Amino acid sequence: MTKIDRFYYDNDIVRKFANATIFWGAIGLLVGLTIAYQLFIPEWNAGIPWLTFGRLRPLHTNAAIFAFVGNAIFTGVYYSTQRLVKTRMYSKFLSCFHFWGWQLIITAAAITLPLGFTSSHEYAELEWPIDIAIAVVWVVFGINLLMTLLKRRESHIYVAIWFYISTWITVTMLHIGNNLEIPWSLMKSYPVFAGVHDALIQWWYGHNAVAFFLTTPYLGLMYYFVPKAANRPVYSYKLSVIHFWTLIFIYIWAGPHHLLYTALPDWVQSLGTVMSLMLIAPSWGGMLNGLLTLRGAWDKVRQDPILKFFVVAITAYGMSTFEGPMMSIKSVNAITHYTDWTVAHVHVGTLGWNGMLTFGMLYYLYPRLYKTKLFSVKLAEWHFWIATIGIIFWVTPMYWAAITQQLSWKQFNPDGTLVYGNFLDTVTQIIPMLATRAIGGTLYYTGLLLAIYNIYKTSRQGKFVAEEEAEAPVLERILHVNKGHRWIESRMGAFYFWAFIAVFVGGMVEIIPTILVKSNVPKITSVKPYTPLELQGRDLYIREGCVSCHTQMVRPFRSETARYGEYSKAGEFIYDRPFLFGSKRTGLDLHRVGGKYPNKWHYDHMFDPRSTSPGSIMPRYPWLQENDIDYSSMESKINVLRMLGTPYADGFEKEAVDLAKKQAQEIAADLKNNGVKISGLENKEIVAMIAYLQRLGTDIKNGETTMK
Amino acid sequence: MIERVKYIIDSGENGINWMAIAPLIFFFLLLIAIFVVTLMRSKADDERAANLPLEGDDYDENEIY
Repeated sequence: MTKIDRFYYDNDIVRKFANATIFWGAIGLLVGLTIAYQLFIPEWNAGIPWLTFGRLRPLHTNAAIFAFVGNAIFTGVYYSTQRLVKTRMYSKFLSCFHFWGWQLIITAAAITLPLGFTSSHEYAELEWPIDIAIAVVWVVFGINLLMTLLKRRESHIYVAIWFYISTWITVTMLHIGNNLEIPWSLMKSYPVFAGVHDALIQWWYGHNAVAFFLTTPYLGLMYYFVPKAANRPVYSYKLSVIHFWTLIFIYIWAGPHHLLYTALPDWVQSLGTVMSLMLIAPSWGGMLNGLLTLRGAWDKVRQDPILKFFVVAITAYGMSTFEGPMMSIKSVNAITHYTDWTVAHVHVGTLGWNGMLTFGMLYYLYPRLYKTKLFSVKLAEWHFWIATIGIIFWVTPMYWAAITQQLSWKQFNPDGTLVYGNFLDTVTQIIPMLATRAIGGTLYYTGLLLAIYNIYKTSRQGKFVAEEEAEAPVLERILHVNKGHRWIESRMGAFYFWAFIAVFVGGMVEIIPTILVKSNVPKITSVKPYTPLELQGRDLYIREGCVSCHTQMVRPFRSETARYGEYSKAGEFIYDRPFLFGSKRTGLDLHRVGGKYPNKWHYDHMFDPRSTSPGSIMPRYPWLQENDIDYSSMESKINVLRMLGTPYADGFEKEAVDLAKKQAQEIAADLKNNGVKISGLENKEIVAMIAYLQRLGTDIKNGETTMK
Repeated sequence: MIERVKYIIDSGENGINWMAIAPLIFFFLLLIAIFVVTLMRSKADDERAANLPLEGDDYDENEIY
């Protein structure tokens, strides 16, 4: 006779993460809404440095990805894993350590990013002490998950858990790889890799943060919660096997499509394009498997808001995973990249796929955690429709803006001059679209507020069951089937190993040759390291998040060389730690801005952009003219850069501050000659910023371009 | 050893782009392998696995609404 075990599911950790999802969702989306308004009302930051777009944008992305989506992932993983393997989580202590550690990391991000402590790597902006904390907490989560799987009462590991495992393995690898950095102060560091190498590794990470944080864990959630909500088994388990392995294998190669037409070696760009195109197959395999799970249950979709949320989520996943490969085709990328198309694409994914699946999951979970009915189905319906309409209002004007941007950036007069030679004319055209987008965001946020009220009332009317009793047959020993794919399905060691191989290969094939083969980044003899003052200005550029709106990558197109100058070469970035190519042109490209305008123009422009460029949506930076330059870490910066390969001479660190002050005096003298009257001008941050901006892209213009 | 690897990688530069082609070949081999092992699965096993989320579920349509 089969023995039955009685045990308890830990619902407490599920509720903790679910509450955190809602809390950080409210914060992260509010920050997003704030910066959406700032883009057409630049004074919306109230003149406060830590409320400017450049500093809040990374906070928004980090809060949305790692706080809102991250906590939602853990909610679903802790709930579904326990039930799929019919056992309680391995360790309550590890679960709590994971929860509180993660919230502490998010809090640290919410404090440090607005203060300007950023590595400038997109979605990996957090600085080195927080990176270490993330690694520790992530490993704790991984141990807890693995140990739970090892003491399971179900031989077969369900497909949802495969996705959780691949998420853990890949995020570990990406986080370590992209955060190899050497600290030069308590809160600041320089990355080990520079320029093109840094860019490739960053987008290997950046793209796969989308893949393995926003996609694979959510596919796991889809494979659990959609069958649950529809009360139907997954449509095709065979398809899920093919979907899983092909998706995790291909995704990792796609990173270079973020760097098409840049100075990245052409073969890597081609590889990224081909792999990105192939991604359609596994992605749509997953989407179809999700939608077809609802076969025979479509009548329920009419009445059930949870299923409605799931259907829109899966549809948004299908749309964005079709759009992504299309945007990776070089000729399409040439017109969509750097425009609001990318922003719209990303938000179809996050608001549609991640957001709607999260809300569906929360509406499913709270009544069950509290053993009650949902407070108001009608309110959930309202939330669904407001959010769906909000998404449409969000993305449609952004696609429209993108088309407007590209057409106006590339339009020539019959005489060969640019129709919109003044970049600002291309910005002012899209302000109505930016405003409409903010309305869409407001609608989506309104839906979130309804969800908060509904969930709060649901929890008030029920009684929380922290320890949910369950029973399952005792598993004397795990049943291994040595046939086909089933061989791997019950063997944890083998599964982890092959999943690691699948995600490891792609990145290494692209990264190792790019770094080892020197001809990938031809050296340009006239390119020299930054002077100490320029270095100081560069770190201010990073602090203020200028890279959020300005690229430093002139692509080899007539429309770009006519507007900006000579296209960017790989060899020009060999001293750039971190690289600052950027991914969006809200403002114009700055790679060739050096020497284009007088120092006084930059001074006035940073104080009030509208004084030099009427209609500009750039925020003011008056504090650059008030704050003194902090030279205290200069020696440490030079030492770290030398250690990483920048050819500063021995002893240079001792004279660096004096050299910086000398260069600052020259710029200050020029400003004074042009009417600027501020005492101690040579000590102000604006001088360092001007020094950096005036250096940008000038090495090639001023010197020889012979390549070694 | 490293020098040898670098030589091989370098020598591919002016000829066929093996760096790009090799992963594609590898992927298609992997895809075929996955198809084969997936097709070997029994229907009964698949049904059992697909129903795992629904096992032990006290699903009641009227419970929530």
